Amino acid sequence: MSASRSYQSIGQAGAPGRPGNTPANQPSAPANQPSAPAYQPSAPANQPTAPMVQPSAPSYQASAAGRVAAGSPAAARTTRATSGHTLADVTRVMGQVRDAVETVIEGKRGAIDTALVVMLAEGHLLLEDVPGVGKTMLAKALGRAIDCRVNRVQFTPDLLPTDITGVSIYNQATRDFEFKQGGIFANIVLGDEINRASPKTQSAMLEAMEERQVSADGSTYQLPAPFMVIATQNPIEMEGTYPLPEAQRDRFMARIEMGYPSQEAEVAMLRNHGGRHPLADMSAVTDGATINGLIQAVTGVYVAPALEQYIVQVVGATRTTRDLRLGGSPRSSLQLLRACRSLAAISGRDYVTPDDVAALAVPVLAHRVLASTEAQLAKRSVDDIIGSCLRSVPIPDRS
Amino acid sequence: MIHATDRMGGAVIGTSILAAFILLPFTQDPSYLFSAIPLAVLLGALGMVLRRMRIHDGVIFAAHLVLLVVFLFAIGLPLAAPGQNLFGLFAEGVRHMSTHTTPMIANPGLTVLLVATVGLTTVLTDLLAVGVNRPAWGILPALTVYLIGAVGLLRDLPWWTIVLLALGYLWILLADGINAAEVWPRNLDRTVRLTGRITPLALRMGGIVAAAAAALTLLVGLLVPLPPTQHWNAGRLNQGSGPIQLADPMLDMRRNLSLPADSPVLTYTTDAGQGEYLRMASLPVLDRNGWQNASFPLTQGSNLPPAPGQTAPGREIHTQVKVGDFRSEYLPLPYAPRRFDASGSWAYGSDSLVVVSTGQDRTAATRNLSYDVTSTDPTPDGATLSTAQAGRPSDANLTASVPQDMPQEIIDLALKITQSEPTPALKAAAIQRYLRGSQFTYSLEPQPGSGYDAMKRFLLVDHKGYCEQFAGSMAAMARVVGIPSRVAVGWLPGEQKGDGYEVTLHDMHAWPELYFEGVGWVRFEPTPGVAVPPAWTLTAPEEPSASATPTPSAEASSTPSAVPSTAPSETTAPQESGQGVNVGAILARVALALGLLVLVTGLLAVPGLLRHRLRTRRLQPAPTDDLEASRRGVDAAWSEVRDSFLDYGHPWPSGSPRSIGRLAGVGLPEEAGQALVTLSREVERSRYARSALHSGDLAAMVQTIRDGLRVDTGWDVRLIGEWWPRSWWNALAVALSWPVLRGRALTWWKSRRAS
Repeated sequence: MSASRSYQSIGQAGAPGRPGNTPANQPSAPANQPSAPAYQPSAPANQPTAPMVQPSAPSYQASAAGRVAAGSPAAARTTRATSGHTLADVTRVMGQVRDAVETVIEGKRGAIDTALVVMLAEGHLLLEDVPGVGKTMLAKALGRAIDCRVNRVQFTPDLLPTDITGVSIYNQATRDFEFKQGGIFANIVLGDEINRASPKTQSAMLEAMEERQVSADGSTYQLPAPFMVIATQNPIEMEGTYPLPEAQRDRFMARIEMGYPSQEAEVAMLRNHGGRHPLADMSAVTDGATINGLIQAVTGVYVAPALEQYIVQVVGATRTTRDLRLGGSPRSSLQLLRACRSLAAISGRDYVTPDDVAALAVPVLAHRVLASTEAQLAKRSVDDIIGSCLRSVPIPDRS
Repeated sequence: MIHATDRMGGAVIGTSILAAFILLPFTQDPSYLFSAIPLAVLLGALGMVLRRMRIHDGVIFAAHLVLLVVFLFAIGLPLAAPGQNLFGLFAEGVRHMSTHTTPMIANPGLTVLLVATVGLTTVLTDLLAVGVNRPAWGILPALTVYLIGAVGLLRDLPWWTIVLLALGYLWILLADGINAAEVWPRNLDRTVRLTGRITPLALRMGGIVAAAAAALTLLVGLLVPLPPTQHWNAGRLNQGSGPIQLADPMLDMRRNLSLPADSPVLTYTTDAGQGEYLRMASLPVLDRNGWQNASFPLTQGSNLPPAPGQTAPGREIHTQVKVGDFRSEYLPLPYAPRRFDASGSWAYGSDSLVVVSTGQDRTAATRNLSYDVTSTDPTPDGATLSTAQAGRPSDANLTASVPQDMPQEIIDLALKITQSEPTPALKAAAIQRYLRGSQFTYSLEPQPGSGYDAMKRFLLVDHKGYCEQFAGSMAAMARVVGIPSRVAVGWLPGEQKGDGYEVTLHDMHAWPELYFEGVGWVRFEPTPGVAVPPAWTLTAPEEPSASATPTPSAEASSTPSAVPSTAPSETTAPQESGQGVNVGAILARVALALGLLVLVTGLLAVPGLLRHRLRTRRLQPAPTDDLEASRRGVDAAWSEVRDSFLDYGHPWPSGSPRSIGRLAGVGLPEEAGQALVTLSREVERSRYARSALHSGDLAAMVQTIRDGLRVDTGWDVRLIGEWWPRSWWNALAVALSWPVLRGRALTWWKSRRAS
């Protein structure tokens, strides 16, 4: 079966043999329990119908019971509403998460920070880099650190939309159709080599990303929260691929390139990873409910009116510059703002500064714009052009 | 490292100094160089300093002009005569130029004019070569100076002036070439990438030098063949009688009289028994501009005809004259000269008996000259004179004509003075007596001039003047009453020294000569305090009383005795009165100079004081309970830090407060860097946080940062930072820039229309 070859599930949050996680997550479980009747996955039931999704049973149970507020929007809302997290918590917890992830991925602090920013801003991340630089590892480590379910979907040309979203199957025993969840039902979904799948499949995925829910056979299934897609694109081996069109790329909040590690980081990696997989030693430092609370807290970060203007001017500059054929969309302004809030909170501030905008302009905008022919001929990178757009807008003085 | 503007500034100074030397053939007095060269250096240095501070070129040009004017005041004041201002000095210089041939004899006005020319050359060269960055045009001011000399004055300039000009141009071009060469290495990399070629630096440098050399050759080729303009009237003069252009002796006289330092001009011995008036020039023409030279035929030779109109034979007097360092084209001779043996080429006018040089170096002909003169004593008999009729000399068309436009007031006055006198000589004596009266004061204050205006002011208004006004007025009034007259210019008898007499510059004098039938030209002396009137002019009844008590005047009181007719006492009077004038004038000048110094110092301190005031205002403790006031306080502190960075020459990066705090603090001591980071966080919070009141002492932070900025800076940077802060100049340049001015004007206009 081709699907099983191309599609692997890696629901690994909460490693086996680490029971400490389960009790810690347990208290929140009852709260969700009653409000999640529509979607009550059980490991045995799931097992036969999920040739593509193969979570390790115990951990999946735990996360499903604890944090996947599936099926009911109300459930998700309840989780958020009950959070009483402050911005200080954001800084503290995110610092712990970063430290935890850094034990696995050496010397990639920038990429990790951007991933955290995107997660807190409820966005999705596009990773563009060659194989083997730790894209998957980043996603996995992040999932492990926040004790969430991670699904990996390997995109291939024959992947079907239902493989992503799920399918209703007739259950002989109950004589009813039963919804079998696709790969997207997880807190962190790693869409590997997303450009290899057909456009149809891609758009199914992107639709789910945007709506944060899946509709099938007249029913709507809410995706768990936190929910974050980390998609990767391989910039080489473009043969036979369907690169994401601009409209699709626009749905990703940020794009980063992992880049090769420095020599020291690579040596340290050899030393640390030589014996056993470091992921095995990694323990969760927080949980999904906390993350939801933190996401809620981040929205309280203050953005001065002058900075709103500034963000709009920066994005506007990408629309007017001659070096870009396509500038940033209004959606990109919004996402830049949200990312800035998130970064400010992680940095321990309750207000956004121009430095936040400067730090995030390239990751947030670069994948949405298209360089003009002249700029391409002049071998100007898009990062460069966005940098000059940023410099062309004066830093606002006063709010 | 030498800045590009410094190098070009140095070239500007060099070219200006060379231009100063180009002016050397204009004058016999090279002392102007002592002022002109420092001025060029000062102007150039000011330009360099201001450009290092990146001040707008328009401001630099204005600063140059201010410095130029202040400098001219500074050198002009000690040179100016009492009561004369800088413009008067300029006017005097222009007049001097128009009345003298090159090389002109020393004159304060001329000196100031030459210094001003050099200063203006420097300012304009600087503007062209650096200000508007057109070094190739930088030679124009110096070239203009050269061309004025070469073409304007129709004189040949020595060959080396063109070499100086060329050197100056080469200097500017070289500076430009080196500046360009410095830029090349930076662009070389790009050039190589773009064109794939490397032109060696030496080759390019060689190209620049070759271009400069070609330009120089062209320039020399164009200018050298200018026909050398010889003394174009010399040839004709040597052939005999002919027209000759003579300098105005009145102007020399005015200048010599007002020179602060007296110096000997000539000494003479004579067998006349008393001192002699030595006559040089005679001005027979009177018109609205005053007494002037007329063109008269010259006759070559040293044997003169008998004095016109003199019928009595007269005693022969022998005089030996020894002239010192005094240059003139007129030969000083006692009246009426018959023979002289001065070396050189001389010619005389047969009516005036004036002897002028016609030699090659005409204007300096008298210098170090020794000669013997034989003259006839013109002394008339008082009794004969008193009955003599007014005569009619051969040049009566000049000397006897009363101008049509002569002011009626002067005519009325002359007639009123003389109405009771029966004979012409008595009328003349009455005029002389009137002018020696107590209402007239000897003073060097009036401007030179014997025109109608000056005469009216002298006779009718202020009654102040010196010999030019006294002599001119008497001669004019004599004509009104029918006596032919002219004004002679020359020397008082001077002071007796041993066997002979010594005549100094202050003895220069003018007196009227009146023509009587059978007597000829007779000298009168209407100037009080300078000399006693000749015995023959005190005719008949008045003689004893007039001689005994010449009407007391201001000068008379300071003269020990005006009665004795001995020469020594005659000449002490003007000197003493001159000293009285001088002490007051010197005090006034010192006070003026001090005032000017205070003013300049005050003006120089203005930027620093205003900046200090701004700082005090900015660092007032901001309230920590009012959000808006707190924000304003933080902003002001931040602006102060930015300006301090500019003032002390530290770079101020652009960007957000946080990035500035990080980048700008790099070179600072740790404490200051820490304060900068803290302050930048305050600014960030105040600007972007929801409700951020500042905490901490802003003024203390700013002070720490300023202290840190001053560490490791030279005294010059600190001085400039304190007193000529760059931020202040920048703010000034912005406030005076066109868009701001236009914006303000538009706002004002709109508000006016609205109201």
